[in-house]
Amino acid sequence: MSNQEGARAYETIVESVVNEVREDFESAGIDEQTLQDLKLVWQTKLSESRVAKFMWDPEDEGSLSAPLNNSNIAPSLLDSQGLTIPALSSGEDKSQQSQHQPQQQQPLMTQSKHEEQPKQEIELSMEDPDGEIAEQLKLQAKQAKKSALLDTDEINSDLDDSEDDYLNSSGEEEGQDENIVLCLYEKVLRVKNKWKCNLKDGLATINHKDYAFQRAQGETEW
Amino acid sequence: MSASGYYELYRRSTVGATLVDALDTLISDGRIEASLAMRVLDTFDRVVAETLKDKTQSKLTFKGHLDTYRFCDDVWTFIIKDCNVKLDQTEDIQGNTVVVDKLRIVACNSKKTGE
Repeated sequence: MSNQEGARAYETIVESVVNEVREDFESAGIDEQTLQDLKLVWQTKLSESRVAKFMWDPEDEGSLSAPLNNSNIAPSLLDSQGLTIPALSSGEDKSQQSQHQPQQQQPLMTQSKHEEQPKQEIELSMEDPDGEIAEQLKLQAKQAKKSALLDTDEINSDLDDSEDDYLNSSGEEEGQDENIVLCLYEKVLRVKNKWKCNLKDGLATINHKDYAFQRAQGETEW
Repeated sequence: MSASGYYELYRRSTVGATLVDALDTLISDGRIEASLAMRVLDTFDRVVAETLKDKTQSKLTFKGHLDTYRFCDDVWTFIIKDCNVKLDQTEDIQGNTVVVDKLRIVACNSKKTGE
């Protein structure tokens, strides 16, 4: 089952949301860099979920696991990764990746982080023409920060609560392992024990791959 | 349904959960306020609804044994066991069938979207 349309839908959603909240960011006095970081983190997390192949995915498949390994990511994400591409978790791959990163770049980048914020952006883009290393380093720094915060129990935002609500809304849920369809219904019909339903505008996660659909039709027997 | 008139249901999808995660990172780093994150999620609700409505063509079909059905607060939930799922991109590109042990469907009423 090809899920290209699902991937394209996700790409459209990311692009549209980022463009449409720009005004909100501006009126809240938040700079463009923060919005770009939001986009980057969002895209990276989508790549890590491996529910589809996205246009922003790194060329080198393995480079994803570098930030993954030394960060504090939800176990569910790690689970799904382990299940889909078990080969990546071998020690050989890991050591290979760390060598992939150019040795000279690393100290240069770290240095720039200590300087003023505005400078940081310019320097990163100059030294790293295709932006890949910069993105990775930024991400690593962020994830290190995040895990530090998690350790000190500082997260108490409203957002956490709402997230918990979604995830815990039903005790039967199985998290990322679940095959789930989220959609709208048009008609649900039952004749004796036979059920038919017409659904539309859906997102589905099936066997760790995500799909988008315009319409869906189901026939089931109770 | 959120104040903007769109369902929040898609926040449970991968694209929604990863956005929630990313926003959470920015909040815990002290870079944005939770209220701004909420506005982003409201926008997300609308963008997902519009994207699925206007930009998708695929058709999904499924058959299986209906294990559980529930209708509560205008939301249908079905749990289908031994379910055959098929996704056709277009008339020409037909997908093959995938069999899953268990499929959960959560569906909100299409007549109440913010149109």
